[in-house]
Amino acid sequence: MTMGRNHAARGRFARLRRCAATICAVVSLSLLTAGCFDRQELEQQAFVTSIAIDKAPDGMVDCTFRIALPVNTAGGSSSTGKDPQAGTTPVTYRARSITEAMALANTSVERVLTFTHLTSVLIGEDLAREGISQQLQPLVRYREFRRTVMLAIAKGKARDFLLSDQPMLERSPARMADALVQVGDSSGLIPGDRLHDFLTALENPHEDPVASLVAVNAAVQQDPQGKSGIQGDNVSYDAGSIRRAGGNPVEWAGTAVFQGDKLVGYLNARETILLQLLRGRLRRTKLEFPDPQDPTKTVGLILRRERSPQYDIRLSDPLRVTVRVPLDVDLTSTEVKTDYTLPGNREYLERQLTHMMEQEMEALLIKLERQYRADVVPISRQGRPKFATYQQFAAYRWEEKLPDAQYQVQPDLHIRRFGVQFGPVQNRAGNLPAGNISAESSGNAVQR
Amino acid sequence: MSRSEATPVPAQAERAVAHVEQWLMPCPDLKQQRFLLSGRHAIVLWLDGLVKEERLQHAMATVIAQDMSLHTRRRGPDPEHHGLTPALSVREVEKLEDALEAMFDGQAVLFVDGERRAYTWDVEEPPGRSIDRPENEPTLQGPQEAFVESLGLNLAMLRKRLKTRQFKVETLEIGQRSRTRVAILYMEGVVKPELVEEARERLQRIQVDAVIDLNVIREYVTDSPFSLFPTTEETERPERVASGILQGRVGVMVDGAPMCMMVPVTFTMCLSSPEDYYMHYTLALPLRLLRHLMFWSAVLLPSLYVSLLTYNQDLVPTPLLVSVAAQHTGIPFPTVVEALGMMIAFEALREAGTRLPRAVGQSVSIVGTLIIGDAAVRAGLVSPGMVIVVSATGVASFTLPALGLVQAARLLQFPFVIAASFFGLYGVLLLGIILVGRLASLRSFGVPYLSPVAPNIPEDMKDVVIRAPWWWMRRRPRQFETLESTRAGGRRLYPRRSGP
Repeated sequence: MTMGRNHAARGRFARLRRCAATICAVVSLSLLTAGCFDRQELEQQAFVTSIAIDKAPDGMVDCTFRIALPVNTAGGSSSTGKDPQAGTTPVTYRARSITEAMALANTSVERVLTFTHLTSVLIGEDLAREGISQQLQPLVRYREFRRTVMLAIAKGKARDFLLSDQPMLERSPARMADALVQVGDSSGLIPGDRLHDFLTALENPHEDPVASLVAVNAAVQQDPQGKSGIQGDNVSYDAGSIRRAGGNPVEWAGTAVFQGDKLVGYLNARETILLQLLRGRLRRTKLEFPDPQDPTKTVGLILRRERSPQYDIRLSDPLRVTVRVPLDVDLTSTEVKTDYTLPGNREYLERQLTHMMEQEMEALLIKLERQYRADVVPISRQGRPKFATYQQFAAYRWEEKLPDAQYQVQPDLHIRRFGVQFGPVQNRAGNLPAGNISAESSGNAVQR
Repeated sequence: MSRSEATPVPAQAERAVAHVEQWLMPCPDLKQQRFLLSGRHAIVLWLDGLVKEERLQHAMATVIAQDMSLHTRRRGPDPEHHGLTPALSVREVEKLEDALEAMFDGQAVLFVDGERRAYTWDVEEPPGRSIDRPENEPTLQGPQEAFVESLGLNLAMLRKRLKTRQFKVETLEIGQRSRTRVAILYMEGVVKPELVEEARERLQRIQVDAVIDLNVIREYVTDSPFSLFPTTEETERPERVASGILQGRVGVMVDGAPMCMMVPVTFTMCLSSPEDYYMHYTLALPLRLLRHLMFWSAVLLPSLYVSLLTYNQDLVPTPLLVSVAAQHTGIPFPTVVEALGMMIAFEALREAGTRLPRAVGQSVSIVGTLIIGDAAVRAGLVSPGMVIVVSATGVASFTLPALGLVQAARLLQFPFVIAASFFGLYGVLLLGIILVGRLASLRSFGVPYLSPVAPNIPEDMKDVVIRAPWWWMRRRPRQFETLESTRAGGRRLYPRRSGP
């Protein structure tokens, strides 16, 4: 009896002790996961907003950091004339990897470098041609980097881009990358792919990544005020040689095309717009085409994506790829006197525009797949439903098949709106607008 | 003053008065008037200031006139009619103690020679202010009268609104020395009888010297004495009490307190303002959402700011972070110290504002905050962001309609900031979980504090975030388990549609 009670008491005590131990463990473990040892005041950190990575001799890299410079606006520092949110002058370190450069950077930056607010990673052309997967490793692994960082390839040295970048409107260089991605999404002039998109394309079988292309415009850099006027006598869509005077010496236009992790070529801004339409990433853009009646004149269009492009892939030999790109078109400008609002004229214009676009897009696909041998659209992913298993898809030799494939692009243009004015602008000379083109002899049937 | 040592009223008026004077000495406010009734000495005693002089004069004149007419007609005194007057409610007392108590209540007492009893005349007019506008719960629309310090007047205000014999007022006396009248108000046939029983029992158990204010009662009967959150609702608006009683709740009023305590109460009730019921019902939704948001802002804003700035900078948008960091350069204190300092300064200003006379108080609190905040920013002691956050917290707490909730929020922001300073967002989260768990465990007279959300009572959700139109609120809240669940006897009261 006594034994039994003792036993019970001991059991109760043990249970109590176990319970207390559990509570202690839970409390201490849950509280020790964080603590004031993690505290970091804002004044102890240097926020890196951009990194530029360039090739250096002997397999080393030059890493350039641009650090956000907080200046106290409340202290009346506006009199100094310095932009309160401007970044500091970029600093460059030579090291064997980004992480080493990050470590070395603290030898001359007096605060702890923090990369949580990194917005853009720029990679120099030379380095990109050699392959960048090794350099991207820390960006993937280290927890301070986010995959939303904008990845861009700089023609020439990436460091030069950072040095000459003087945003026209943004006060904070940190906003720059976000703004660029936004510009890319709404105009299509750059793909605006983020690090995440790049890495996804790199890791998926058969796909190839793209990155935005940036460059320093030498003409603007030499003459920032634009005093000597505009050089060049043609329209250029190439980064670094856009015809302009004045403004930010750097510009972003076009796409850097990769094969795997190696840079293989560039697309200009116009090709980028078409590529983005083919990828289905662009909702709305502006594009000019030569007027079908007079190639020296242009028609201006606003293109809207009606639906995502539809890919029809036949796994025949050769591979046959048919793409339907349904687009909704606003006519924004015409220079000829033809009244395109008339049904016959509208159909004529639609036909001609479809034809022109078809040729341009097919040329682009052939350039990408045959010349660069890079599947950046990616067409292979559109062909995935053709395979029963992932293994079959992965084993299919897309890389060999795609360059020899037959490409057919069918842009499906519908002119739906004509802007706020219907007819062409009337001249006082009394010239009446042209009537229905289909009634005239087709070809160069312009009435003057 | 127990009954055993009660003194009977002596037969001589003079002796009775001497007795009373002896008890009360020194008592400059004891007044007396002597006259003859049927040739016998009669003395009226009263306490100055507690009675209405005109009514007293009128009463004495009536009594004397009556007495004279009796004399002329019947030729003899009629002891039964001494002191009775048609203009007053008259009570007869046989103990001196009762007479004295009646005097404390503002009644006049008539002693007549040869009679072993006294007559009390109800001529009371206790000092107090007249009915005024609600100061603590002002509304733009709706009734504009508030309770005053007199229980009688307050009950009259309720009677005026609830003209039914089912509206019951039970009174009991609490306080050994103050003998304060406490009234329990409820609607018989609607309220759950156990609720009234519980309220009565809790009140009867109270043993105190004096009930100075309603809060004494509240702290005795409240469910969780240590809880920061109010588990009773105090209001100074009679119509709010009337509608609470119609919901099947119980009110408790204390003589001398211009407030009524309503039980049970839930968390969501604390965030609904009387205004919600006087405006168009569509406005209640955004306003209530705003108040919920403001409550959590009042509790969490400084702690979130501190944890975002000292631990979780990666969650702040870059441009904002850069500008906050720019503001923060040159501030000599860690963010936590800055936050706590600013919060304490704000609380000090708020306290100063309530202590000072109203006209001065407001200017002190507003100008003081602006000037001190601005000066501190210019001197580089506090960052402008911190001033914004702390004052936004203050403003948020001012939007809460229930005073108890405001105080809870004021107090809770400090532990949250301290948790944020040690553990960052993680600490805020942990403390938040504990807080919500605590809220869920609270009860107010048997009703879960977070009902009708948790436990969920779908029928009662019509008065939580939204305020259903009046014609849709056919049923009384189910959470109070009323005897009569439908309002207006269960008739469906849809608005009549116009047209065919």
